[in-house]
Amino acid sequence: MPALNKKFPWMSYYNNYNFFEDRMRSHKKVNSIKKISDSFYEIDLVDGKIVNVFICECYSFGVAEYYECVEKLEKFDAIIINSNWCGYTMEVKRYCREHGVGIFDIRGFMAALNLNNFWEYLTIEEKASFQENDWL
Amino acid sequence: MENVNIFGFGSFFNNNTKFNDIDILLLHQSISYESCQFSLRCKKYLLANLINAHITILSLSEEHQLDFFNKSKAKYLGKIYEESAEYDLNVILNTINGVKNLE
Repeated sequence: MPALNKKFPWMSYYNNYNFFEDRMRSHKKVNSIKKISDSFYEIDLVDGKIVNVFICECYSFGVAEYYECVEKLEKFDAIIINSNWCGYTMEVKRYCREHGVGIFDIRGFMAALNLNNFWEYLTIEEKASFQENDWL
Repeated sequence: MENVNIFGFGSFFNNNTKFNDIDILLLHQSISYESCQFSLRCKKYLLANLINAHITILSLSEEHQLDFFNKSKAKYLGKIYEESAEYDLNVILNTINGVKNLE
């Protein structure tokens, strides 16, 4: 299903993020989740840390979209790209990582939450791409 | 001074009479703050003046990574210069409206 919403905050085609919420509730490192708005969540981790998450279905999330988020959102620690039809560029992955912000699909975020510095998590493919570009 | 190249892709630009969106790619020079901000301004203008526009923004390096041109068969529509942005954007809008009228 393609992304429907063309403008920020690129809301889900189905108008909800139920799958993301279910996955977060089932994660052993997550204590609780709080929905702040349609696209914004506070994830309370078992170690007491709080991760502020912006979630969207932006077709191709790049550095320009990251700046758009910085301009429009108060504070966020992670960006989740919800739909399999959508994705993000390696440049924005690198840029966010350098700024202490994680950008993932849901699967990647699930894995990243097991790390203390969750924003540093790279999938095998991302690691290969980073190495290829001499970014690691 | 910043500039952005504009491309059209998808069913609207491929002479398909059935289309849902007008897919546009804004290709900017770098991932610098200035380059991204200029692209975002262009996007805002196009969205405000074009119904059903679906806009993708990529830097040159991001496009290279995604191989977007080859995959989307994007067609070049024109270039927007910072010093003449509104005029240039209106030229692009006229071009797109010209394609619309041919449908």
